[in-house]
Amino acid sequence: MLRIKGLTRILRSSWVLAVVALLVVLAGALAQQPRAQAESGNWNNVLMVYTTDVKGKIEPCG
Amino acid sequence: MGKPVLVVDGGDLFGPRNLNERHQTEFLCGMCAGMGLDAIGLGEQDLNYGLDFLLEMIGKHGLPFTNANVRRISTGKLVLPEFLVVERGGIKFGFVSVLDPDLKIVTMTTDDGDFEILDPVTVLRELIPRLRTQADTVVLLGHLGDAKTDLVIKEIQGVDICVNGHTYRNNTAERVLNDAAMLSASYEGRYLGMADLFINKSDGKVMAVSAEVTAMDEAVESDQETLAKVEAYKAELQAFKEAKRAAFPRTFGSDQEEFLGDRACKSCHEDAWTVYSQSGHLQAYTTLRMKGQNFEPECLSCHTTGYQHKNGYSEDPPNNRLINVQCEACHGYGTEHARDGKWVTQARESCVICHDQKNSPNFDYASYWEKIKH
Repeated sequence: MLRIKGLTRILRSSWVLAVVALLVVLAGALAQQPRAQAESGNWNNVLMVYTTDVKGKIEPCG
Repeated sequence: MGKPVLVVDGGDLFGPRNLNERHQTEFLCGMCAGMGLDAIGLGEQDLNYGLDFLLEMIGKHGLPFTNANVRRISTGKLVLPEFLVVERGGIKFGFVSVLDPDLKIVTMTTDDGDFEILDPVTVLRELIPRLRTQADTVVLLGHLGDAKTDLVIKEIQGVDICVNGHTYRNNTAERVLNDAAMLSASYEGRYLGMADLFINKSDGKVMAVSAEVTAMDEAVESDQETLAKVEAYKAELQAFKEAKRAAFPRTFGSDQEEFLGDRACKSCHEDAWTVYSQSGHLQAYTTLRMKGQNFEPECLSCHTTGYQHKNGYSEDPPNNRLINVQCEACHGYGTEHARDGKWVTQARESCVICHDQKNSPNFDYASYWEKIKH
């Protein structure tokens, strides 16, 4: 029987690589979703201007 | 910019408690009317001049104040609309505002004891689901301060955006808490916040936000038309102050005489000074300041020393030291110090100048003298 030295380690590494590759593909697909949504116009863009605690001031102090 | 814009404020738009600031707040409200504000939260200082004044400003200038947890005890009703719905860019924004129950509402009127501030978490838990039936995106204008805002946001669901009020802090980076985009740009108009919102059409959720806070300093060019209005108003305010002062002219006494101040009297009259230091006369100016009346000539004429005398109390140094009803307020200029006893008679006769029927209806010389006998 031919024994390949380090076969178990090779197989384990391959498994890990496969999982990592799958995760990368999935992440890429998820990252595409907002862009896909944006490109499909599923959002509205509004600018909100805000302030607080003006306390009656009409010009800067000093 | 070409995109729809909302303009909101987190509360405490109004100034401090005194008539000069009230006058200025009226002008500010008029200016706000031209800025297209969409929602204003209620801060405790927005009731500084009383509820009637607030409602008058709302009616006269169309200011969109809202609040969900302050009500009048006498009527059991909320003082303002419970929420506002504003449509912009195809999205219905539901604005709701709450005030911290630990903040005191103090007014320049007799309203003070008639306000009740309800628990914001209880109110919002009931209100937000109801608001959701009318609005796509819920915006909380929380006049709660930094720590309490975070506590409330963690306790409730359904807030998409929170503008933090009663704070000196600016959120210069995007911050999300319990799915709410937390925004803050404060105070006294020193900073302005702008949030670029990307809102999901289907559920009103904020998909992305890019927030920026800009310092409103010299680098920001003034709008010339607005600047001209402010300068014109300042001249009007100065005339307003001078007209009030003119009603209490500095006509008594002599330019040749001076008020020496109570510390000078103490050097020879230690016992009398001790009685004075424990009396209400030494608290007279503080009493005014607590009520925001320490710029009012009508009040200062009796709560300071020599207000209507030459070389008497002034807001400017050195005679701003002549606060309170000091020895010379009753006895006259220290430089004229009489030693023949006539100062006693003069002082006794001066009591009723300030303890008059309008301001001191229960005044009785004998009983009041016991409080300051020296």
